[in-house]
Amino acid sequence: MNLDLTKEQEVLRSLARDFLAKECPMSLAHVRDDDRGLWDKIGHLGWTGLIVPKQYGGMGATLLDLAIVLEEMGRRSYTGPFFTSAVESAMFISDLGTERQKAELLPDLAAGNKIFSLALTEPSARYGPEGLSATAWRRGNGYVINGVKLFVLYANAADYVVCLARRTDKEVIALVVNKSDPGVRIQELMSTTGDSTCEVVFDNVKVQATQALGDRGIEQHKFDGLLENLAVAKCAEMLGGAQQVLDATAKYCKHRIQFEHHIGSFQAVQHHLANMLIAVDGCRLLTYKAAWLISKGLPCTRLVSIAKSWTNDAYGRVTTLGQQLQGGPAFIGKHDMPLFYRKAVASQAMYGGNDFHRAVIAREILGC
Amino acid sequence: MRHEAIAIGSALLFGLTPEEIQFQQEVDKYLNKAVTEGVRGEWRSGLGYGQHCWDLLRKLGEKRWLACDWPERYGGLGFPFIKAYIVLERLDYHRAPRLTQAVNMVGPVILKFGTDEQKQAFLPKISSGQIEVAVGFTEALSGSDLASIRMTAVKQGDSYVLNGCKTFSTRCHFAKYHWVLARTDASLPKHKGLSLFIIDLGSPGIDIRPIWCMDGTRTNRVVYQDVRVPAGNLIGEENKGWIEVGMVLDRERVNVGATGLSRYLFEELTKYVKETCPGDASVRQKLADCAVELEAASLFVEEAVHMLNNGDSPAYECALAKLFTTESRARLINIGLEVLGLYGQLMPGSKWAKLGGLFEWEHRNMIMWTVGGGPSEILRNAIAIRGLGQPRD
Repeated sequence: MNLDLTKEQEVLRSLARDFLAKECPMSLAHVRDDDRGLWDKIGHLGWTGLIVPKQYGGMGATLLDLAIVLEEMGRRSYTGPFFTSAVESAMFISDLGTERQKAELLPDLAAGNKIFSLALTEPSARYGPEGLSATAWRRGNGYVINGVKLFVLYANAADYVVCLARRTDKEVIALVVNKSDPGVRIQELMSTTGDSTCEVVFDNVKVQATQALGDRGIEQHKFDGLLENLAVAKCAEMLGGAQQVLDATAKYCKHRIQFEHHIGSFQAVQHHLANMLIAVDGCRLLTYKAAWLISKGLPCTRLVSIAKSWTNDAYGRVTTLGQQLQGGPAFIGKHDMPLFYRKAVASQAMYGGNDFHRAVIAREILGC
Repeated sequence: MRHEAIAIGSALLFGLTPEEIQFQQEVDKYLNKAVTEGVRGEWRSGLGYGQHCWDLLRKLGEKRWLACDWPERYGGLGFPFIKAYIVLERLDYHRAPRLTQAVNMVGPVILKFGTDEQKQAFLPKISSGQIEVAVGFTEALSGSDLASIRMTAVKQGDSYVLNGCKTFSTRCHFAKYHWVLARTDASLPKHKGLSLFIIDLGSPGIDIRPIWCMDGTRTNRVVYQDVRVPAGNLIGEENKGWIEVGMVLDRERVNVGATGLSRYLFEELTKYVKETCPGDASVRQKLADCAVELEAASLFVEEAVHMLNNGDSPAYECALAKLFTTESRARLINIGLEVLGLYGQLMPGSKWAKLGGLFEWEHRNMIMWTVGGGPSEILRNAIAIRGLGQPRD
């Protein structure tokens, strides 16, 4: 075992930490960054193209490198379109697009000039092709898209929406749609997380055939692979949040005095803290092991689901205990704790909640 | 401002190196044959080593696998700690004795603090599997608060005279020596007046009485009445016993945290589910829960072993590994019993018992793992204090 990062990754982590400490104060998470101030700065760093291949203007980073940046963003409770544009959309376009599409779309995505938003889930609230009922029927030279996409991050801030839809009963494709095209209606929902999450309605939206990524339906293994990558990316962000909550809570307990003692000296408090540390350390080991397996091209399905299951549970427990131990002050709306406590609700469900992942694990173990 | 240098690839590595894997396979292949039903039955009976267990330990000693991380001159192979852990983990998986207490707890202290004479006298016998040394720390009034022990050792000429009573000294009825923590200076603060002794259990004045536990295993209450011990059997310095014991505590915790048995139980439960109720959605979720915790336990232990192997001083990782492995195994056993339903109550040997009554017995035995060797509550305190900088009072 070796848990050391490469020198470059250490540099990346400290750069990310310093940059976000300066440019992404927690206060920013309380008032969403709608003026693109932080977004432009992230773009200047090149992180909007972090995982975009170099030949398309990106940095060609691996999932491990991405995990480091996402972990740091999670620590600051970063609120903005990074995940949907630079992670979700970047992965879908890089994986599914033709050379020409990639050359056309990715440089703008990588530079942060254009924001992309992934419209994957629907009212079924399920991942995987079986949950999709939006359609993209062939008509003439192009497609007509109909359907409702839900929980689409920052669609209202995006320039393009990458929409997953059925081309036939059996085939799902991804299409890149200009947000201002006729028939696209976007409405932001009221999410507890502080992130923008939207309903995107496609009402007879006509697009060119060239807007469909690739020239065939998405193969199941590719789809699964993308979902696995994204589940691990989400774990990394959750890990950062969980670590931040633990650090803040441990610090609070070290200084808060009641009954003439620091509350961190009370065993009831210490046991909660120890449980939080176990939860967070587990997130770290499992998330990085999953990212490592993926980056090595090794079989990873079981471990990705184990990592997401653990991280889901852990993030819920850590944020709840963080609220509990930091007591009344943390209940105040402007305190940092609620940022994490509330974000956990959506993060736990994204890319598979526990029922979903435990079902995958059971299938892997039992072989049926 | 743009940061260009991102290396593809990484130093990150999980799991064992190819060479370690080869060693693991070699050990596994050997134990497949060497750990017979005779060994298992004897060990599981809880009565102690009989002929089968001694044979196995001595064969491991001959191969120098019993203490493979010790120097060659004391019967080891000079291997890194991780290989010693591999042997222990595989023994645990095969439900055989996990090396000996002499190897796990006593030898490392003698290696570090013993005189040359003591090393010569004890280490070769321990590493060859000739003797067991029973640990005698706990007393009736000193469990979690171990430093409060009352057994006294008073120096008289060139020997010490010991008086007091140890309890839960599990291996005394088949061990040659007793590894005893006793108070040599009552005027010092409680942690500072303790010393370590290795004592021949045949010494006059020692009375060993059995205590029978709920899993059928035997442990002992050991009464010392004016037991005279040569001063040469004091290990390390007088009044430094607490520190000496503490130096190998992390190692012991990792050993107790070994995941071999959990892995075996998980595999048995998986087989049972496959045969009886593979389509039961609720059972599948529970089995998946077990898989998640087993993977996490393995990684916690892997990290702790890795730190010890590199000579780092883990702050809390070993305590965490012991805590999580034992508690998650208890959850695994309870899930196993739930899945077994009414069959869960049937004991080993009973007509209709499933999986040989394995989970029923483990359910009785598992209490020992979360209570002994640092109970979960004390470990949580240690994790909060050492891992998260919380104040002691």
